[in-house]
Amino acid sequence: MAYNRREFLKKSFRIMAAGLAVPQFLAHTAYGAETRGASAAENTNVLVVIQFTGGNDGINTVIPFGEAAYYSNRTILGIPSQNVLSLDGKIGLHPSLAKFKELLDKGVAAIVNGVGYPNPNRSHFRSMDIWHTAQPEIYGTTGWLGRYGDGNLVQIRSTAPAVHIGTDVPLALHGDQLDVASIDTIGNFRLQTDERFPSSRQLVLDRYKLLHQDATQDPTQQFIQNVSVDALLASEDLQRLASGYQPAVPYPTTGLGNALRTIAQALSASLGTRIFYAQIGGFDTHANQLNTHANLLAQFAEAVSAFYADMVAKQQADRILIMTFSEFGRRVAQNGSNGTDHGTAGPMFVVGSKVRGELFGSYPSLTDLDQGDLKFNTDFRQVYATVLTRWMGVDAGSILGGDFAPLGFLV
Amino acid sequence: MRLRFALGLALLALTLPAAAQQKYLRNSGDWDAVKAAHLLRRAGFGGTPAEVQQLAAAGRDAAVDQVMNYELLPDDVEQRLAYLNLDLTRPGQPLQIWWLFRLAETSRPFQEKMILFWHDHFATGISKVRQPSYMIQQNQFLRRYALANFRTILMGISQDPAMMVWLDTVLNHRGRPNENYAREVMELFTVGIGNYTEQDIKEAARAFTGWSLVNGQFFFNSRDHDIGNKTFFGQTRNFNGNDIVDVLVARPATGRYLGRKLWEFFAYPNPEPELVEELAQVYLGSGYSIRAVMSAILRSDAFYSPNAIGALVKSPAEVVTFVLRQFPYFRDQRLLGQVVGDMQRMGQVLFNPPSVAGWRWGLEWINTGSVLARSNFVNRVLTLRTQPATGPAIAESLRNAGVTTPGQIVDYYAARFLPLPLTASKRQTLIDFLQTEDNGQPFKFDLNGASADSRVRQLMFLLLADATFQLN
Repeated sequence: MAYNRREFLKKSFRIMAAGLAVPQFLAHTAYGAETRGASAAENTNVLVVIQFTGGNDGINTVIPFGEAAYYSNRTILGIPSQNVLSLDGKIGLHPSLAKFKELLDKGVAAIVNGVGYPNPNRSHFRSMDIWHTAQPEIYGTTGWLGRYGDGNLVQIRSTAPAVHIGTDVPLALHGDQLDVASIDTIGNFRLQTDERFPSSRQLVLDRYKLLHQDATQDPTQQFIQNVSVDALLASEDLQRLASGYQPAVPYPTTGLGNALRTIAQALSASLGTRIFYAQIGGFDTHANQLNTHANLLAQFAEAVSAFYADMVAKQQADRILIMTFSEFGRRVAQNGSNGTDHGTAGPMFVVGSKVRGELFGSYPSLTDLDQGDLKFNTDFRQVYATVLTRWMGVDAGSILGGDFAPLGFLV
Repeated sequence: MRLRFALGLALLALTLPAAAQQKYLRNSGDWDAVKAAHLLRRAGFGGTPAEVQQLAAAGRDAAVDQVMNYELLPDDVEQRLAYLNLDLTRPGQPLQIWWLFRLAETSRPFQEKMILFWHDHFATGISKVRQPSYMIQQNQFLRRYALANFRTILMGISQDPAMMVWLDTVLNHRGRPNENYAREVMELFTVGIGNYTEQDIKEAARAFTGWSLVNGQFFFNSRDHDIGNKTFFGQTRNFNGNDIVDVLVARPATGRYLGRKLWEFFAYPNPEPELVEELAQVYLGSGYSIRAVMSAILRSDAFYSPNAIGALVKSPAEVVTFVLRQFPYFRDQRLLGQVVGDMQRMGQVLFNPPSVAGWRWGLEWINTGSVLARSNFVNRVLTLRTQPATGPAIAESLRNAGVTTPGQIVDYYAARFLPLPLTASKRQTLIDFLQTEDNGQPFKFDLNGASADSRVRQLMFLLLADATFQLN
């Protein structure tokens, strides 16, 4: 049990002190217009994080097919070299990533190889928490994006500054003040009223709003009221503004396809959302990995390809940046169940028209290992620092608790 | 039998050395309906007006006895569960329905509330354990030993198959230790951060070697056990796993850690240090009895103080269970699967806490997605299609209770549902609502009229979706 927002009463006092005691909707009028008509100096870039949950096998994702050690360690799992989509004659992509390769070829996607952190942890929970908090040395309780949001999004007066496609709030998005909308589908993100009495709906919603604007001395109730009003307004806006959304290309009807389509739809509502977060699970391939992994990579490639094409058609491609990660890679050697066990370093992908389409980091050695696992050469916080400074336009040091040299994957 | 038990408890209270010096845990015996309703909400999932009234007439000690001595109450939940024919062979909704049904139907709500506490404390997730039967076994263990001696609880949980898989006890071998359980048992289950060293963890891991599962049951494999000397909390001998449990249970730090957690779960956050010390003394003085600690908490003036009333935020489990238990016609079995989905959208999946640290409580439950989910759950229950078009005779039950005017109706449901009184402005908004047509025009409310039923249901919706209802 944890009260991550410290003592929750204190938290509410902080909100009141910050002048946000008034429900957001009273503080702005056409907030959609505000953000849409933002001045050139104001950053409206959007980050889309796609989490590969379970520990993606990086070695079969970006494949070192030029190394004998790859095939000698993976007599069953090794992808035949003629099937690998070569990048530079020595490493290449899994064939299921064909659609992602197309983005690379267009120069709108990049790969960062060998990403990890010192003293890697091979527990799903601990390692995922490390990636979420960007704090490998302590048991952090706020996320890197939560801290970013606390300092930068709380003020922008959006009713949905950060959106998670799912039903909880990932630790990465946990801040002290940042409100995160968890949307599983846009259809569900709506205050339901009795469908047998549609004529009552407006009256009920009006009274709901009124009750949640009640003057109260109780900071806890004040917080709940504010969040509720934001929820109602965000949902009304989403229903109203997003209902006209038509995808420019067909999306695959997979889990990730649906999630990215929902993101595209939410983006079209121009609510001022700056962070979207989606997950694709199933990567913990301890046994019989070949087909499962191939299907997951295909799901990713097809969904991201459709999403990017949709963004291009809607002229949003230069304000979105997609970033993928997983909590760890997997071991070099296959195990006795035709799968792989938890490992360490792995690749990250970024996609967007402002991406410099090259390879970053270096491919870890398959022979100079750390207890059978790859040694990382790029700290993941460098990738975060790149995103924070060069994409979101903020100081990364205070958010990451240190200086991490940004990489060059953004133009 | 009950009188003897009460006398026994009184004698126990007299023999506890700290009793006379207790300040926060003092029991002045003050009692009224507000305190009775508070007890039912905290040591359970709320009560109907009849239940509140019955407890209000009993006085503090008798009320707490009644709530705590649940083993005296007959409960047929097990037999009724069998009729649901749940497929519990794979992870998924049926497993959550298995527990949700108990929450909604049990005659022992305090027992289920204790299990919810322990489930969060010893947070174990089916996402890794994968075996519903293991999760059920752990849940049934907690059901049986919810108020037992903490040594019994911790030993049982340490050797529980779900826990052994969850925290890798089964991967901890002589010569190749896995420290996961050793770390978490100290950090999260007993003494808490700062009260042990990394060396203690390493040595405890060695002591736990040999603990294995054979055919889903605990088995001590002596050949895999490291019998060498270990230095643990300053003592050196060939500790085994049982010894580690014994040492941890007896630490005063455990008394403080558990006392604090129980207080924050049942009473209010950030208890005063002196209060935590009093609770630790009860823990230690009673020989680690959880029953004694809970008895002290539920009888204490601090538990019924203004600091405590309405000071918590209802978790998703408490939201759904409170609502389902208010009216029998809410407890339709066909709803259960959908309610499980609602709980997930509120951020809580039973048997699948987000991590070994359990769920995040208080205002962490509240975000834009989860508040919509809470309201939509209430709407679902109130507009259940399977009911007759006019629903159960809401109008009739109100008339029988002598509740007929808009003011009386608002007051009746507010008192029934909310942990704190409505503000005058909210009360007026709701009274006006009952007297407004859909088009906004005023109209004279008539409990016998055609639109009364739907308006009253909408009133219930507004109350159960209100910010005040989210408090506990």
